Amino acid sequence: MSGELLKIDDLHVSFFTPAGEVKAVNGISYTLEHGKVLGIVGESGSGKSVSANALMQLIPYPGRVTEGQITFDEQDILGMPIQDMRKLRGKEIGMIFQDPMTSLNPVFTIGNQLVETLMQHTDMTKAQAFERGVEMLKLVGINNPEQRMKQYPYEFSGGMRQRAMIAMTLSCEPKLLIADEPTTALDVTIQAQILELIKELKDKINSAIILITHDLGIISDLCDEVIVMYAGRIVEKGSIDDIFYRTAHPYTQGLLRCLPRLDSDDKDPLIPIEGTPVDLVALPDGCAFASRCEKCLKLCLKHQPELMQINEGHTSACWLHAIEKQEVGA
Amino acid sequence: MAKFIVRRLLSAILTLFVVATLTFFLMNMIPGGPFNTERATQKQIAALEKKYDLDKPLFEQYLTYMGKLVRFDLGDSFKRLGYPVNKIIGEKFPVSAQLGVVAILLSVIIGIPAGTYAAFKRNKPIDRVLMFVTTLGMAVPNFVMATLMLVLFGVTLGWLPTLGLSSWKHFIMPAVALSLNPMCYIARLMRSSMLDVLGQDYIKTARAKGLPERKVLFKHALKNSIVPIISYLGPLTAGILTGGFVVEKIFTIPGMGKFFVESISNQDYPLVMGVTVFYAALLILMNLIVDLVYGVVDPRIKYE
Repeated sequence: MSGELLKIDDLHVSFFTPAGEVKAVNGISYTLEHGKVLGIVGESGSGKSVSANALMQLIPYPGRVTEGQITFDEQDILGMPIQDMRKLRGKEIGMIFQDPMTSLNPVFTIGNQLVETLMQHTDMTKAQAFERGVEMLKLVGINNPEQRMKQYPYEFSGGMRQRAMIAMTLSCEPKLLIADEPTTALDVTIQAQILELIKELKDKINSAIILITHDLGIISDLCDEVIVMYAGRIVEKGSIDDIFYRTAHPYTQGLLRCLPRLDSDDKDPLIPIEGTPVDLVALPDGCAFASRCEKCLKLCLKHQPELMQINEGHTSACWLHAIEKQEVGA
Repeated sequence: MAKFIVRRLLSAILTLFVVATLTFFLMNMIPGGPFNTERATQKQIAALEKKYDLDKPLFEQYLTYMGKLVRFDLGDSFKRLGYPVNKIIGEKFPVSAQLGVVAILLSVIIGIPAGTYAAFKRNKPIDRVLMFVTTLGMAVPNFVMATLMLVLFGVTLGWLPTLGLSSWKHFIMPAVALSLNPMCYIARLMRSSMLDVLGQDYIKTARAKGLPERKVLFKHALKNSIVPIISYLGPLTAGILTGGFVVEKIFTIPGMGKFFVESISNQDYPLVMGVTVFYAALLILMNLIVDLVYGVVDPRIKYE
């Protein structure tokens, strides 16, 4: 299956706190095709999770979407009544969260939580749903699934819980899976297993995936396209190769310099990005990254750069590209 | 589980022993005696004290009392001559307990949904109204509420009977008066506990699964947020079942409440001991039940 599954257009999300309006997402747009994997990368507070939560109308209090449009499978998500939204949640769009230790309800069995999802969205009887649950647990590599269904989350290890969570999320075969930092809370070895599992299941269930992470390392293997976010805006968007080898935006370059490389000398230091993220209550007029950017120009402080095309499918929001282009043109 | 209960019962006996001992000696340290207030001559007092063995050394009295206590004999009241304390408790406790059960049901049935609803509607007008009312409800002492109701519904409007507990109508005012404070407290406790739980990841998971809000609240959130309420219900139940002194007095209810106060002011030793030990036993029992209920609500709690 191909074609457009999800289209986000100029999405703005703000949190209305006593300290002022926190502009968490400031006009992001992207599209996602059926069966494709999109990575969203950014540091804490860059708006990556909030923008994904908006897809399910799940922005926590006191936040709300202030502007923009989300179209999923030709349906308008933001204008949709909550009853209709609930029919999409869990069935058409599934979501996995960061910390499997807290994202499963501690006082209900794994089976109960799995069966509940299935019974909500299908006409299955309890016995059928239980069967399907067992199947799903087997699919995600949990041994003794029948017995495991009757256990509580505290009887599972972290990696096993995340597997159970994935089983639950995929049990209704959603068209879109949102994985919000699915491996951040796990051990490195378990991280690799979970990513491997997601990759494997992606082909079996054929759903599109939005993979949210702050770790560039984990997306390289999985994603078709990558979005880099900073201060609620998309600063760079492109294929894996664009992002890793034809890096355009100074922020992405900075992120890549923070990653250890296999081909580097042991003595090469990792270079951190200096400074702290911007205050989302008082965003600057110009580029939000300007104060931390090595290549900052006067122009950057006053005017916000728009996304500019670098190559086919590769865009970046930096004035340097405009200047380069002019120079080439001139 | 069975081992846990047995161990708790054994420790309960120890606790009761300590409570009884402390009460016995503290009570005897209070100046004066049970018969001093009577208009009696020294000789008569001495005779009465001799009759009730109060002339014996204190330790001997203690041993005698404890000896009876292990046989569940709480002795005879000094003030109501010939009336066994067992019989007083046996007659009065059911009256207080009846009223108490109604009051507790009322506070739970109204308090929990009110708190849940307030949490769900956090910072909306309805939440603020509920929180204002519950603050008020906690601040108003139950005797003020009882008196106000008595005047309004009992006397001025004449809708409700004002004394005794002879029909369901008689229960309304005393039960409402008794339940007002705990009801408001439960609502507030429930709200804060619920708000805490609603911020948890598994609630987000439940919503992300497409469950209706009713199920999110009453299945996923309720079971997790009810634990503090259960803790509070233990001592509350013991307290309310043994009777609200003032409320029982206002509505002329022949419950246990008044014996708590009167036994002490009369220095009616066997009755003081009796109601104290009884209350302590009830409290211990309620706390044991609370601990057992925890295990039903939260599977992570294990008894060893």
